[in-house]
Amino acid sequence: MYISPGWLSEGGGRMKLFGLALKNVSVKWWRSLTLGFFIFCVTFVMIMSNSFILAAKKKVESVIQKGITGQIQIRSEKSIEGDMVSQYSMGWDALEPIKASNISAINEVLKKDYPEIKMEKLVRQSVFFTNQDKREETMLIGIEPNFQSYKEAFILTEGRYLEPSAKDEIILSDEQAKSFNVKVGDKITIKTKNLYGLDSKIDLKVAGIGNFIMLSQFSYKANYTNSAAVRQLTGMSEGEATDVILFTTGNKSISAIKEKLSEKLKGKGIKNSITKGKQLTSEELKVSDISFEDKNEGVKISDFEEMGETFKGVSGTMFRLVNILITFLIIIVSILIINLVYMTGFERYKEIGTMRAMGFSKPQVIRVFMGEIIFLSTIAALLSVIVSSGLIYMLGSSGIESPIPALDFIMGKTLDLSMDINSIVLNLVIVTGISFATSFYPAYRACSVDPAQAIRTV
Amino acid sequence: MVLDSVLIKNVKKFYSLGKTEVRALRGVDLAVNKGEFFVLAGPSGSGKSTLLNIIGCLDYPSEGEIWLEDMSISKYTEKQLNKIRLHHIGFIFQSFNLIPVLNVYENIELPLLVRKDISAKERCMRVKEMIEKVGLTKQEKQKPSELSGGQQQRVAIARALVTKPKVVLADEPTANLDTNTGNDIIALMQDICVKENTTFIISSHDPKVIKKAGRCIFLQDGLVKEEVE
Repeated sequence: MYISPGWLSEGGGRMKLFGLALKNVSVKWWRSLTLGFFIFCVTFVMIMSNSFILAAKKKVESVIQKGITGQIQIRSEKSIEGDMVSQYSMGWDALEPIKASNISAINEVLKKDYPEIKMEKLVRQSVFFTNQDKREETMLIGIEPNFQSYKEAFILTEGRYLEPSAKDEIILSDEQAKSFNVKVGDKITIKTKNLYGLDSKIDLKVAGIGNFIMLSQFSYKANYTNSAAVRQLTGMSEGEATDVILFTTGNKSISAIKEKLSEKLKGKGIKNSITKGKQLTSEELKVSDISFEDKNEGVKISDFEEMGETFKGVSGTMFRLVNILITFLIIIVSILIINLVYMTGFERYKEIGTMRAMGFSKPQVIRVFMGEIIFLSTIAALLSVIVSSGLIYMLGSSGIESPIPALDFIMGKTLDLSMDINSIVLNLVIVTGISFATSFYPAYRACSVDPAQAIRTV
Repeated sequence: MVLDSVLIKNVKKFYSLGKTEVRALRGVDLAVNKGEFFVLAGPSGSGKSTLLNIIGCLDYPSEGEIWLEDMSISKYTEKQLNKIRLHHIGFIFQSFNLIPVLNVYENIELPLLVRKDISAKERCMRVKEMIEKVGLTKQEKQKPSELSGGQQQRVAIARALVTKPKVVLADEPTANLDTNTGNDIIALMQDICVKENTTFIISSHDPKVIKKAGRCIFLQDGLVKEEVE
């Protein structure tokens, strides 16, 4: 607690008044305990829920990065889509391939300047699963044989991951498998329009069935297959890809890498731009549907901040929902504080009158009241911070495994809780601030008694 | 010129009780000298407590003037009256009004905690001195609940005097005490009145208190009925 020099210059008188506040806290210990318990609970819920949401957010980001976007994405300048994860921009069928020569140039630059960066190629295409009576849209992600990180994003419930050498395998989500009534080993028909606008069709064998961690909660639909299958379906040539995704290591700034990469590519004569993800308008969709011109000379470079925008929005909504619940809790505690301070005021009616008769001013008596509340809420909130931080640390470091294996896809295999110091400090400030704000008015009312009336009360 | 400690000129106090107007004081004139042991006597409802509250700056008169030594306080603001109470007036209450969570020392020290002109050293000195004067040295660390009624009233007297006030106002100080203890308390107040030259104004209808008074006025229906030396 900050003690201004003024407190000390008055011979510690104010500190002694604060001592009176502390004595009042200890005498009415049952009431103090009730109030302290509520403040403890609110702080605990705030910190724990923030930690869970933070963990969920990190998990979603990790899943999206490992399974789809990487940390940096290079796409054809002509590809029109909002972000790589969005289900709603419907721009997957407007994806254009990056020329093989451009991909080779990118690879050269990376090998020379960023040998630690891992590069992967994806061939994505908007397709339809079909049978006699059903047609369902999904995004087909064609991966190269050496791409392995998708296994950390997509958890199988049956079957196996893609065989690197196989060229006709696919992994389905539980929902899709149920919807089309297919099992591991069955074949499923996939249709799309190829790069030249012609109908194209392929039958792929179901290698595994499972779910994306967390993303499946939002009915996210995407399927992994071998890149060769997608190239065959779309008519892309060997060496071409719709996306080059990069995985960095260490603490290098993503934007600095993007900038340097852009410069180097320009040096190699590859037109490129560092651009924000562009939301597709219906007008643009029509244009892209009928545009088959091969003008994909250039590339655009983006990062996860743009490509994960949809799910960042979802996690933002989760944050807001939890905050609404916390707000309700805070309102309840505020009402409790107001009631307790009112009750205290009634009980100490005569005491307040005596102090006022002795010459205590209203602010001086209020200070005694507020001292009690602030002390109590600070101690309860601090205790809560210690307990919740300890719990978060314990759960986070021990890596407790999901109790039901089938629920892996909700939070992943382990419960990776983490602490955010800024959020803890903010919670502490909010709780003590609310205690202060809610106790001030009842304390002011209690101290506004007519001392002549109050001292007569027996 | 020797100033009166308290001078009251034609003080009236009217209350509204629903639609009825209560005339608590109907024109009281009074002068109390410095160092006087003065008693306001009279039956319940005669206006003793109202007059005491007005002298004690806890209430405003509806009409009339009040002087506390050279200060005309009837038009003072609440803040100014607060300051007057803190520096110049001490209160002793019928039911002692001690703070239950504080011990004897802390209760006596309480009014000094908000006095910016008194250092910690002086505060400690004054409190010790008052504890000795009221004979509670051994009970210094005890809480009010551990003290007898007489001891509690002694603490209240010490608390009223620790600020070295110009006037001490006591509202029925012996009403909650047995005869012997009441006598002791009156004797203590009288002793301090003489030794410290502090003005005591006591509201009481206890004959023992009235008998010990240097001067006494009898109030009836908000008016001074009789004055006795």
